[in-house]
Amino acid sequence: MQAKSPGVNPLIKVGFVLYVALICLWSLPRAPRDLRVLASPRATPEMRAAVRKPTPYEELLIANDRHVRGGPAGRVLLTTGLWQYWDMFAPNPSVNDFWVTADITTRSGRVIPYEYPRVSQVPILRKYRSERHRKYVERTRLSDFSYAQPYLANYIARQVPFDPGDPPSIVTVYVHEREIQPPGQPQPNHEKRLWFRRAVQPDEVRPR
Amino acid sequence: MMRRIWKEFDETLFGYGSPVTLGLFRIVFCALVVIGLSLTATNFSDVFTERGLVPAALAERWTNGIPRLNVLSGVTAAPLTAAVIGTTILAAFCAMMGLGTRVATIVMAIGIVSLHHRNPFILNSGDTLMRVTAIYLAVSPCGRACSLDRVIGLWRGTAPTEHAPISLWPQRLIQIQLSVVYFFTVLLKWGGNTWRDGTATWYPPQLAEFARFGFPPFFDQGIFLRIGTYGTLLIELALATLVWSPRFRKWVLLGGLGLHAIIEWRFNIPMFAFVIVSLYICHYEGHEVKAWAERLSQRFSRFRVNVAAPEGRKWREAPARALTALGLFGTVEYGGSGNAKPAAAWARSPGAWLALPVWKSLLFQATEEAPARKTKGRP
Repeated sequence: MQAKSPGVNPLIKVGFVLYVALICLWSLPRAPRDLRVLASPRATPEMRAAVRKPTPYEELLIANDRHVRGGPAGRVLLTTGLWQYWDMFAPNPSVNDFWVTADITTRSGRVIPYEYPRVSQVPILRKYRSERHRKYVERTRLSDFSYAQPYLANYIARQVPFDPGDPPSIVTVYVHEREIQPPGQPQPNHEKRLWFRRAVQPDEVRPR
Repeated sequence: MMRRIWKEFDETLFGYGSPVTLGLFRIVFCALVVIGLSLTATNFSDVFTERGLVPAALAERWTNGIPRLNVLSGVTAAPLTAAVIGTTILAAFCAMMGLGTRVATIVMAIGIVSLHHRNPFILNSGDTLMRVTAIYLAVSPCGRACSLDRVIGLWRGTAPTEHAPISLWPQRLIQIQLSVVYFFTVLLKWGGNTWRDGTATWYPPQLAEFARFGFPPFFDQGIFLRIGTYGTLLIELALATLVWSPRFRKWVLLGGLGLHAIIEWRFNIPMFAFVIVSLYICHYEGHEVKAWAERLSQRFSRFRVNVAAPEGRKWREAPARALTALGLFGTVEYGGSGNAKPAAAWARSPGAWLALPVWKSLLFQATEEAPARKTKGRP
């Protein structure tokens, strides 16, 4: 039951249609990792020759990465906060169950154990809060965000009480993880693996 | 033929209609923003300060040199960051009440975008949807209905008695955004082997750090696993497509509500289910929402009260209309002579609850001296 339109500004109409097209293109999957070099404007002919030939669909995704995500329209989305990803549980749900612990070694060699916040260990009312910590680790474990590791090391070093005369010098971070197996198969136990080890500076980890 | 199709397309996207849906959606969505940001603020030190997980330098690195809308860019002072969070929550609260709606929604949108650019490492899809929807609300006339702005306009006599129609393109944009969310999540999922072989819903509940409440074990086995996996894809696809058909809309949205109720029960994803489900409101037209409210009003008719003016005074027309607008489902009327129940007046007027300290004064100001004639009761 819509009233007769007195008329929307044609510029708004054009902008509306372009914007919808843009967010649809932006939301398409990225090109497969092994072909992403083809989307880079800096890729040399040798680099292009070194990768396999993409399928027509992959060609489309490469062009989208190059001209939409990497172009001026994509930058508008990034700048304004309209960027978006809808990869919930996709392409496959995560199979990696993990939590994080660390050993903080002080200058004198004393080792202080630390457990990073774990969603499964907190009461129900605090789970929402802890999920932000879990999400942070899930993201920074990706190779694209490995540059966040020194900041995580500093954060961990600040979480334990220590003698100002014997400040933390090295943070060793471990991931306790297991890969969920398909239904009907035996599930493995968590294994403790070294994630990274970083030296920390005393002025970065002053006590609170 | 083409002209007819274009005309229908044009009227669907850019036609005019009732602002009630956007008004109702604004209240629900902004309430979720207040709750969501308040929950995030409980992690303030860890999430937004230099001593937390993401100092400003790390956030800058994430931008990859591309400028981002972020009033906190380069800010390292925690009190300033806290002030931005506080201002954003206050703006969301004002937007929820519909007080200074245009300014409040713009401040809310800038605040949310800035906070997300200040720490993008902790965001989930619910946060992303909250951010883009806040921007859509900021460019929409969502304060034209269900708002204190309208009540103030009615009091002053500057707002029309009936809602003036608005262009519905912001509401359509929110509907399209919802379809984009569901369509592309299905497209991406179809690229995964576990979704194709019908076992995808087995995995998330096994993640001890992600799961919340349990379900009976048989739900994750055999045929139920396949029903869950393929059912998820079907419901999401329907939410992207069939939901636009009035014939299927109700059933598709009920399917979506069920799907997100299960996700919210089983998994710990802050605010995601609530935010995405709140957008479902926009699939209903303003006149449908109004008709629903009128049906409820009839059902609540036995709670209806009539508040009479005090002796020697009479109701001023415009303010009485404004006070009536504060009520829920028309359960309070001002003006007639009858049983005076001033306590019932505020108790049944959710829009008035914030004004309780000055409620009696408001009632008095809404009246004027009457010609010498006795009326029953007093406010």
